[in-house]
Amino acid sequence: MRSARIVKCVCMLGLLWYLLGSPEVYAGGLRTPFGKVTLKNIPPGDTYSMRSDAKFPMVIENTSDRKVQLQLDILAPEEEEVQEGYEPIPDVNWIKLEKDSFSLTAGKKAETDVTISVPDDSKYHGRKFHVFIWSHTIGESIGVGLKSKLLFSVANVKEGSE
Amino acid sequence: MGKFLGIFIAIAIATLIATPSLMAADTDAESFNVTVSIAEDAGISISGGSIDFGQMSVGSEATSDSPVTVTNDGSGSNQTYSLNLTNPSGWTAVTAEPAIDQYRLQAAFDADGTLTWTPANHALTTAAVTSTGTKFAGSETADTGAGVVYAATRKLWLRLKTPSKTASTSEKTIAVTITATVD
Repeated sequence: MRSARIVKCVCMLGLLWYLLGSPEVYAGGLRTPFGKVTLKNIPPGDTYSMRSDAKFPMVIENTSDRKVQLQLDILAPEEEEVQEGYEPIPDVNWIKLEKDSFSLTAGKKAETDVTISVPDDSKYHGRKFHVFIWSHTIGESIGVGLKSKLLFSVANVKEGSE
Repeated sequence: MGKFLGIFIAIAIATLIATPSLMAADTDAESFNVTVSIAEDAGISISGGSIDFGQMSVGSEATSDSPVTVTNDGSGSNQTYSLNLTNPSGWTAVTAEPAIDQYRLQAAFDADGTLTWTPANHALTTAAVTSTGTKFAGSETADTGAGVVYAATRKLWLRLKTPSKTASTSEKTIAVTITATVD
């Protein structure tokens, strides 16, 4: 009852809020060459490394004018987001990041290996999958992010070939 | 022999330049040859920083005085923006009319911020929602957050409705994230 009176009192007095933080002016941004990457013939039952096998680790540059906290998450695409000709990845745990959080000063780049491990199951052979790697700032009132598209096909392994 | 070698090298270089496959790596030399194709960069930049709604009373609604400018800062590809928010302590975002300790934050890509706000199309949630011809669209149908060409800019406006009632009078910071995806 007492708390109800407090709420009512608050409303009657028309107490006010400051919202969305102080009016800072700054430039924020991220950039990556890993915007859309297509891999063909990923071997099932093995681990494929973007750094050691493809020589193309994921690199994200902080193009903001100040230090940011960067977080990377693996996401399966929603139905309306799936690249034509691909399926959403059945299990995001197939994708691993060497490192998924960074503290980046202005102009600096973060780098991480991305590995793909498709189970050795014939039901996946020859299929094409889509997964996102979402790089985004955290702790900013207006944050920025990039959703990198990783598209890959699984090698078609003939039975008895191994 | 030297002439043939020269021609062969020239053809090999021309092939490497022409093919979209930039690299290939054998993970299992007997069975697999993985091909890697790299598309253009993804990039986003914003200017204007945070938006301050100043002091607002309960149950009131206001549009930001200025927008956040969003630029496709990749390297040539079209990009589409998705938006999501993070709730401040004590308040929860809703898409309907806000009740006690609820608020509604809407967003729209629009040249000057004069538009008809429709919560079904403009309300933000904690889950990222992708821009379309209607989602987060303003009054200019050509300037939505979908299929934004390289180097093009968009103005993002925000509109906030405060809770109908609340005992939480401290300053609130609602984090909004703008994410770009190469089309």
